[in-house]
Amino acid sequence: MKAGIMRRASRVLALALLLGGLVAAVVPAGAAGKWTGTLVVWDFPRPEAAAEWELAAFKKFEESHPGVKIEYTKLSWAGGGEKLDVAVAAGDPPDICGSGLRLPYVLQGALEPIDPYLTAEDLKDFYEGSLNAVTLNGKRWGWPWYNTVYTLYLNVDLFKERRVPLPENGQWTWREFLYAMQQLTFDRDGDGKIDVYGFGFTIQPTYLQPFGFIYAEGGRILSPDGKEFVLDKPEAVAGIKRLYDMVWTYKCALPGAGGMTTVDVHNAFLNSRSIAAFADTTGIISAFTTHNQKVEKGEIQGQKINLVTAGYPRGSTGLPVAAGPGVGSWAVFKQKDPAKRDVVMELARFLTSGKSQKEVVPLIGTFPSRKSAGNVWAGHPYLERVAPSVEYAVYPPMHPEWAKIDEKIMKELQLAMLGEKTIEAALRDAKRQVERFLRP
Amino acid sequence: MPGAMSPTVASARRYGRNPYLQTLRLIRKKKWAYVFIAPDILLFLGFIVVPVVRSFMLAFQEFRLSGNVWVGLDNFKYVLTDPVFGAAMRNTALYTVVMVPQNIIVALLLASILRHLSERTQSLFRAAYYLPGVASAVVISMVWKWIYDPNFGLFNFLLSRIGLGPYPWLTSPRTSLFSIMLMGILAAPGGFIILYLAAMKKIPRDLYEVADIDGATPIRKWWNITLPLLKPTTLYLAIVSTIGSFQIFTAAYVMTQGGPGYSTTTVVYLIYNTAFRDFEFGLASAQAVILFLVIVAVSVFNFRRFSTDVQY
Amino acid sequence: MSTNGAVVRGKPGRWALHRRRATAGAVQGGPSWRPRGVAQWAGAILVMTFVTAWAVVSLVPLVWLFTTALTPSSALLRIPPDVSVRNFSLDNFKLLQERAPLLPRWFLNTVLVASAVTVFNLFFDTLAGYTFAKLQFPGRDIIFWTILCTMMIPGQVTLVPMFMIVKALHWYDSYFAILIPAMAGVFGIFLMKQYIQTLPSEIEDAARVDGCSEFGIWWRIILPLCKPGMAVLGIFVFMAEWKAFMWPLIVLKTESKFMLEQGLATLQQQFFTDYGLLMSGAAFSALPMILVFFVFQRYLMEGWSVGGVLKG
Repeated sequence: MKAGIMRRASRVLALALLLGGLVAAVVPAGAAGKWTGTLVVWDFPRPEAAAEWELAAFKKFEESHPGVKIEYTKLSWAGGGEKLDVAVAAGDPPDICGSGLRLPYVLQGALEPIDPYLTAEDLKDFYEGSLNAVTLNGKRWGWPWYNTVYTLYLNVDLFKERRVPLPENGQWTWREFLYAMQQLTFDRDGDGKIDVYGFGFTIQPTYLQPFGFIYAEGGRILSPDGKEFVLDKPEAVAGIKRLYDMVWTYKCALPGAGGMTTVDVHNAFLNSRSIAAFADTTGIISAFTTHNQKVEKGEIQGQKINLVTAGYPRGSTGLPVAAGPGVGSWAVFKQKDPAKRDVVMELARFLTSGKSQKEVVPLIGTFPSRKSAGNVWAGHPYLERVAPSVEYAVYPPMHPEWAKIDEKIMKELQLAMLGEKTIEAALRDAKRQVERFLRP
Repeated sequence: MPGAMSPTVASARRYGRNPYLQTLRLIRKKKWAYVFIAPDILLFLGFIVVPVVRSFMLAFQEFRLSGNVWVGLDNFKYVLTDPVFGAAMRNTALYTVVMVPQNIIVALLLASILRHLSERTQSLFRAAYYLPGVASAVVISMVWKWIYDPNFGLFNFLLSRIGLGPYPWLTSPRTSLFSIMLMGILAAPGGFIILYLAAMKKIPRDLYEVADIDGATPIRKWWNITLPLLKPTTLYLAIVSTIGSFQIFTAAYVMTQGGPGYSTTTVVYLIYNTAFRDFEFGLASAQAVILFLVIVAVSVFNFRRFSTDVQY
Repeated sequence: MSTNGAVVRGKPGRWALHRRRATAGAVQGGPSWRPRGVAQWAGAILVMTFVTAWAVVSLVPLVWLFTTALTPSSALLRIPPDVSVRNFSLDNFKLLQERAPLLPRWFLNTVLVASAVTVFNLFFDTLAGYTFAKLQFPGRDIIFWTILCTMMIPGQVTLVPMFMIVKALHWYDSYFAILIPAMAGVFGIFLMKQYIQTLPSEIEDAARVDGCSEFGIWWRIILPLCKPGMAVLGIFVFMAEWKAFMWPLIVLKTESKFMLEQGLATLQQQFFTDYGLLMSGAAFSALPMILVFFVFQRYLMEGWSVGGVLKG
C-alpha cells in the first residue's frame, strides 16, 4: 500500500522534473537564440606569436558571444597526442582541437562532419586540395587552417665555402642538384674522413620528406582511388633509385639514411652543420628564425644559420612538385547538444576564416588554405619561391589504414636504403603487406 | 548468511573437522593479517584490478567508441599470425634472455666485492653505480644516440683513432638490437647492487665465523652461505627485471623508432603503436595479454628456480 | 675513490689500514677476509681496478648530463661537443628559469607529491610485506600472486580505463588522481616481503608470547630490523614518482599544478631540441633525487642486532 503511494509520487515527481527540464532547456535557448556555457579548446603548442594570436582570437570570440567561455589547454609536443588519444578513447574529448583530425577518430565516429556548416562561399574559397585533405568516406572532418609543404633548406655558408652557386630562384634540375650535392660533400681538414655531406634524409613512418624526389618523377604511393599500390611502377622506382644513388653511388648523402631518425638529420643541419641541404616542412622556418634571434640576443652563443629555401629538383615531369604532410585543421568532436555544436562550429569557422588565416598563417610558417587569405608570402625571402609548389603539393593518401600502409612501406624502404635488400625486393615485400589493407 | 556466521565460528571446535568451518576459524584467528593488507587490497581493486580486467575484456573485443563489440578470439588470431608481432616477441625475448641474467650476475658480483670495503668507500661506489639512474631514460637514450651516431658519434670517433670502423651501431638491422643491449650492459645495475648490499647486511656474522672455524675458503663461504641466503632477493630481482625487460620501450622509442626495419621493434613499442597510433585498443590489449602470459610463465619458472623458505 | 686509487697504485699499507677500519666499524654480516700473499694481493688489485673502471664508465652519462647542462649551447653545436670546465656557466639554468616561470611551483608540487607517496608506500608496503612474509592466513598466496601478476600487464593498455575511473571519481586535475593510486605499490610489497621473509621468527614469537599485538610486533620489531630494505624502497619509490610523466600529463591540466617532468616537457620544441635547455632541465630534476639518495643511504647501512632490538 505504502509502496504504491511512493511509486505514484515518484512518478509524478519524475514527470514534473522532466517537464521542468524541458522548459529549462527550451526557454533560454529560444529566448537568447544561442547556447551559453564553456567550450573546451585544446591545441598543440604553436610558435610564440601564433599562440598569442590564438589567445587574442579566443578573447574576441568570447566578447562577441556573451555567455560563452573558452577554456583553453595547451598540449605539449611530448605526450600531447597521447593525452588527446586517452581523452577521446575515454569518451571525454575536448569540444574542439587544433590538429585534432586523426583518421582513427573519424572511423570511430568521434568527430563531427563539417559539411552542414560549409556554405557555398566556403566551398569556393577553400583550395580544392585543402578540402580533399580533410575528406574521408565522402565527408569533411576538419576546418582547413593551413597547408603545409616540404621544401629544401640550403646552408648558404657551406655553398659559399665550396663556391657552389645557389639555384636560381630555388629551381634546379636533377643534374644541377646532384652536381651541387657532390661538390658539397668534402673532407675539410684532410684527415681522410668526410666532414660535410651534401644532402641528409631519413626514411621513417610519417616523414614523407624524401618522397618529393619520387613525386617529381611522377611516382605515387597509391592510385588515386586508393585501391592499388603503385610505388613499384617504373616512375616511382626511378625516384627511389635517385635517393639510393645519392647514398650509395655518388656518396653525397649522409650514410645510414635508412637507420636514422629526423632528430639526427636536424642535428646534422643545425647543430653540427655536417649536411648542406635537407628537406622539411616550411613551418620549421620559425625554428630557424628563433635560433637566429637567440644567437643575436646572446641567449646562445652559437652561429647564426644562414639559409635559403629551394624546390625539390625537377624530375622528368618538369613540374615544381612538392611533398607535403597534409593540412592543418580544427576538428570538432561529437556534440550531443545541437545548439552547442553550432557555437563550436562557429568558433572553428572564425579561427579558419580568410581574415584569420591571413593573420596567423604567416606566424606558423605555412600557407593559407583559403583563396581569400591572399598571397601571405609575397616578398618573403624564403617562402615566396615555395608558393608555386603548394599548388602541386602531393599529400598522403586519405586512406583509413594509411598509418599501417605507411609503416609497412617505410620499413621496407629502410632496408633498401641500407643495402640490406634490393629496391625491387623491398617493393615486392611492401606490396604484399600493403595489399592486405587495400582489399578488405 | 553473515548473521549465521558468529554462532558457526563459536561452535567451530565442535565441527572442527569440517574444512569450511576450519577455514572460517582460521580467518577469524588471523583477522589482523586481513586488516594489514586491507588498504592495499582496496587500492589494488580500485586502481589496478579494475583497469587490468577491463583490458583483458578488451582483448576479446573490437574497441568502438559507440560500444565495444565482442569478437571472440579474432584479435588473438590476428596478433599471432602477424609477422611483426613475431619479430617483436623475438627481439624482446632475446633482450630479456641476455639482460636479466647479465644484470643479476653482475649486481651479485659487484655487491659481493663492495661489501668488503669500508663504509665510506662503499658509499662512494654505491653512489657511482646508482646515481646514473636518476637521469630520465629519455635523456640517457639521447646521450647514447649521440654516442652511437654513425658519422659523428663518440664510438666511431674512437674507433677511427685506432683505424677501425665506421661501425653501423644503430643503422643496421643486424647490429641495432645488440647496440641497445650494449647500452644496458655498460650501465651497471645500480638499483640491484644496493638491494643486494642491503640484503647482505642481514646475513648474521656468526654464520661466517662458524665457517671460518671449519676452514672454509672465501669462495666456498660465498657459495654455501651468501648465495643461498640471498635467494629471496635474487627471486625478487629475477621477477622484477623480467617484467622490466619484457616491457622495454623507451630506448626503442627514442633511439630507433623500432627500426631499421623491425630490428628493434619490441612488444611494448608495438603495443604503444597499436594503441596510440592506430587507436586499436582491443588489438593492443590482445598483444598485452599474450605478453602477460609469457611473463607469467617465465616468472613461474623463476619462482620455482629461486624460491626457498630461507631463514637465518 | 682515493682509497681505491691507493689500491690501484699498489700501496698495501693504506689498503691494510683501510681494511682494519672496515672491520672495526663493522656492520654485521661482512665476512672477514683480507688478502694474503702476492697472488691474493694481485687479485684484489685487479678486481678493484675493474670495479673502479666500471663505476667510471657507468657514471659517463650522468657526467655528460651535468657538463652539457653547465655548458652554453654554443659549445654543444660541435660534435664531439667542446665541453671543458673553462666554458662552464649557469646560462642554461637562467634560460630555463626564464622560459619556465612556474618552475619553482612545479618543483614544490613534485616534492610534496613524491614525499607523500614515499611515506605512504613505506607504511603500507612494509605492513603488507610483513603480512605476506610472516603471517599464515587462508588465501595468502593467491592474493599475493594475483596482485603481483597485475604488474605484468604493460601500463599502455590500462591507461584509458584508469583515466575513466579518475574521471568518474571527479579527480581530474586533482592530486588525488596521482597520490591515491600510488599509495601502495606491488613492487614495494614484493620487495618488503622478500626482505622480511628472512628475518628470524624467534624474536616475533618471543614478543607474541610476551603479549605484544600483531601491530606492535610489526612496529616495534620488524620495522627497526628492516631499515636497509626500507631505505632501498624509499629511494625507488621517491625516484619513480619524481620521474612520473605520462600519468600526470593525462590527469592534470592546470599549468600551476603540473609535476616537474610534465612541466619540463612543455619546453620542448616541435622541430629542434634545445639541448642546453633540455639538459639543464634534466640536471635540475636530477639534483633532488641525488639528495634523497644520500639521505636514505644512511639507513642503507644500518645493521641490526638481535640483542639491541630485544632490549629496546
